[in-house]
Amino acid sequence: MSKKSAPLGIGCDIGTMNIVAARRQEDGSVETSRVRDAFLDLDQSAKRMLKLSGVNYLDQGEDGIIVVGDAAMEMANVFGREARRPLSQGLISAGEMDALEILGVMIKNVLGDPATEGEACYFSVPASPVDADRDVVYHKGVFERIVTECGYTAHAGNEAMAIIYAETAGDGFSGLGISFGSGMCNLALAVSGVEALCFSVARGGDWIDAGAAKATGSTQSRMCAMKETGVDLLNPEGREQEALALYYKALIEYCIDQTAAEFAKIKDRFSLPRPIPIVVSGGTSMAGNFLPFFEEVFEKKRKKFPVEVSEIRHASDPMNAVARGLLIQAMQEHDED
Amino acid sequence: MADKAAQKAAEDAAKMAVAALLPAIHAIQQNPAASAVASDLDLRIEQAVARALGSVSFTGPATSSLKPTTGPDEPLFIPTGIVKDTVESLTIKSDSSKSEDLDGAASALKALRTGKSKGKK
Repeated sequence: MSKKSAPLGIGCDIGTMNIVAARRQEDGSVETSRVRDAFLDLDQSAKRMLKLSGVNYLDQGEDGIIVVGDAAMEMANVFGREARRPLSQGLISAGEMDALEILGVMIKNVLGDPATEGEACYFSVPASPVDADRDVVYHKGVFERIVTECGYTAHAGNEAMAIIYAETAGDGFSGLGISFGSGMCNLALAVSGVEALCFSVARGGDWIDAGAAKATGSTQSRMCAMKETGVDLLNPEGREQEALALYYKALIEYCIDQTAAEFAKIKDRFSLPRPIPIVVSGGTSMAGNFLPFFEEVFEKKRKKFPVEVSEIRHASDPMNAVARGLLIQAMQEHDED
Repeated sequence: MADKAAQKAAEDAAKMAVAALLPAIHAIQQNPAASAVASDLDLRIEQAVARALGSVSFTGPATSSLKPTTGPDEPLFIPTGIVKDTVESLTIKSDSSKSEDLDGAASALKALRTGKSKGKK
């Protein structure tokens, strides 16, 4: 009887590279569950090898088998194939209808069953990109349907605002949150918890990999692997790492310039009473020395940047910051009951 | 009944299209070098089919047994039943971390929102 039950609510960050869910546990900790947002379809003949390797797969009968998650990336290398990614540049495309069922399986697995009927689930939605002719309407609708079919009450939450909620409580929920994702970068400027500016750019980690691969005559997957195994942006070694650092610099500059351009559109309607922090997050920000590298790039643009910045810092948990920010919002839904 | 009517209408339309194209086809067979005739054959086929189909009128049953599965506010192209009742278990990476920051943020956000709603009143 005295056992304290876990607070209700769950946050789910649906990214191009990973799907992450965050939930409070009975002992007060936060549990995060993650699956790689990728799959690989193989012939039935691969079944035996996968069984021997202990790899989980979905049996589709005559249509073959599907390996999902991290194993899909590993098996793609074994079979010399490219793993399929249900999301492209942060959004699901209407042409990926056959990936919907796989997304359903992945999200159901990371969310688990709701603790109570209609438990609130906040899922991440990117802002519309300022540099691509794409909107988020279909994307939002698809995930709203999937989360609802998992038994939850679905709420869409902006990806970059989730960083503000997770990381800027000490600043009165004021700051510029930047989620450096794989498919895109999401940015939100908030003052006292109010969203002042929200947008995304259709460039991210994949854009870095593709650009660096093209520049050096390498492959995108090799660049991605090099990035994930560790590249020091301040001390790149060899031409491939130098190319990666060059594209990282270009991406950061692009985000800063786009923020300045977007802020110019609203500056007459908004006033910032005091300097605000920039909080950077996301898988693409996990490269070695990303923060000092970002600071170095920013310092060269600080004079022309229209917002006074108090500090630049990394999210306390960059891979899970969005999911945690969404969890905070989901918990509020039940607090208000 | 409706199927038969549709089949007859389609047959009639096909006959009309063939009849309209026959003179052009004969002309090409008689003089294959006549490029002027051949070059606009695509257009002629298109026009003949459009004319033939335009003459067909077909009215379906007044009431349909098909019902939309989604509400009027939702895009119709998002299917239902994406998540199956029995879902295979995947290997999920789980991690546990402290939640002091999260609790503090949740309390601060609640206080901020409560303050704002009181202010509005």
